[in-house]
Amino acid sequence: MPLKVKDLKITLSSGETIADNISFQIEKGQMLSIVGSSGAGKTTVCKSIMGLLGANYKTGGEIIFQGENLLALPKKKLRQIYGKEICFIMQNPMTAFNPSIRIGKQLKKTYLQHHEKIPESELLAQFEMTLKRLGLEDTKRILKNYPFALSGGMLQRIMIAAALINRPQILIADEATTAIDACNKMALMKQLRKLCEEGVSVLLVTHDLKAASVSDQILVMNHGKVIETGKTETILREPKEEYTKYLLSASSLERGCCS
Amino acid sequence: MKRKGQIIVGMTLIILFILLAVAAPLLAPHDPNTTNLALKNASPSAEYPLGCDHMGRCELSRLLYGTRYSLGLSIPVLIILAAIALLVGCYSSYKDGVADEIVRLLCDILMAFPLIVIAMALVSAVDNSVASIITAIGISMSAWFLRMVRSYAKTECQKEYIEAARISGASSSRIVLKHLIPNVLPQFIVYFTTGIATAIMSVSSFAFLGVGLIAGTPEWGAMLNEARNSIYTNPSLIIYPGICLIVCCAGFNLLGEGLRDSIGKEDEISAS
Repeated sequence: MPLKVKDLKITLSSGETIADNISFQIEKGQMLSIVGSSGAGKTTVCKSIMGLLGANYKTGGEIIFQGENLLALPKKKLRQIYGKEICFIMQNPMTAFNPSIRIGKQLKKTYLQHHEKIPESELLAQFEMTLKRLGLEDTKRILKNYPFALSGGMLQRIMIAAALINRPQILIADEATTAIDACNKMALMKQLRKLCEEGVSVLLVTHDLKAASVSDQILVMNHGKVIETGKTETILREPKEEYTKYLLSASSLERGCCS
Repeated sequence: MKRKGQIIVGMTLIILFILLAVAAPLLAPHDPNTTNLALKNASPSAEYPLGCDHMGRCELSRLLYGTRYSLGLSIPVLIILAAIALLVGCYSSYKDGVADEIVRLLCDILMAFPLIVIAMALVSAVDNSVASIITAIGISMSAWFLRMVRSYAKTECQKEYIEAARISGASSSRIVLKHLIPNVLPQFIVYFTTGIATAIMSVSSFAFLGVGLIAGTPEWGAMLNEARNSIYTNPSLIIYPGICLIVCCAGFNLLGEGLRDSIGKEDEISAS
């Protein structure tokens, strides 16, 4: 199986525990959603998988990818895995691009970091195809633009495109649907689903249960602990724990407000 | 429109002064150091457009050569300092940890001493020379530069594109050179241009106090000091170098402020 997290424990150097006893695994071509309210520790778990936590954090347990513990691998090896095998979609698309470099060049750099040089035209065609797949029109203009000239929703999809051009095995999406409108959100979820069918494993982090409903499994988190985990349908239909029920009722309330 | 005007005026003044400094030997009607006591405090004439000082030296030539001292001492030093500060500041704040702590501590220590104190100490302990002033300015300004770069870089480091670059497999040096520095640079240039104005003023104040430069050097601050004695007999001598100093510093300050406003504007656009 592509990714297995075992007894993950994240503590601050001050001794405060942020996440404790987190275990889950994602099969090839499956989608797992981590659900929970803000501050539940979802992003921290993702960042620990990506090795993004700073020196203030201490991580215990195991994160196993292709039979190797990512927490124990040397940095050089990790750099070959991150961005190529495991890709990460950032929470905030507005700040996730270098503001002084054109989008096209940023995508190119991301690609060339892990691939041999290929002709410019081929590369561009590939980018345009990926962007079109994510529902973006006018791709030539987008590639020529600087990040600040594009909207949050566009940037979010470009970011997903940046992750996809390296054909990862695992895609971690941290609140990837927050900046886009409802229509595009559904289209995006379908895209992610399609990726799963192509064999990519997706780890979706969200506080939106509706978005989580397309996944195969759901893991509910609160205050750094796993509350409940299981098949999506079981969790959504017959939640066992109080917190899950509370989350479900909150999300139906949200729907009630909108309609 | 206003900031564009500021930038244009500032740039024009700076370019004008740089041209004057470069072309000083061509433009100056006389040797700035030739004394002619017969022409002591002479009033302006065709041969001496701005008159002569208390030792009969051509005032215009001295002003022109003074540009060389003011710009020539501060700009090259500051450019080198800025480059070092950018590299060290960005790298240390990206790396965080002990290295960053040391840089911060060093800045705090150096910033505790006013520039003038460092300069006096160096001049009295080492040598009363231009090198001492330059070293003093270097020590004092580098602390400020480093500190500014660090604070800018810290804000940039928190933005996700740095993380994004890291997880897409970029090395530290690549992140610092290609991602961090280009985004810290615009803000830093603003600080840098106003820093030049400060440095020019500092060089002139040292010269005014007689620190570092040999007596009789055609430097604006030194000329001001010499003209002090003839403030009642020939007050124009004190006005010319004063105007030069003000206009030159104003040029850099206007450019800096114009740039700052226009960069701020860009941020607003990107945030909306």
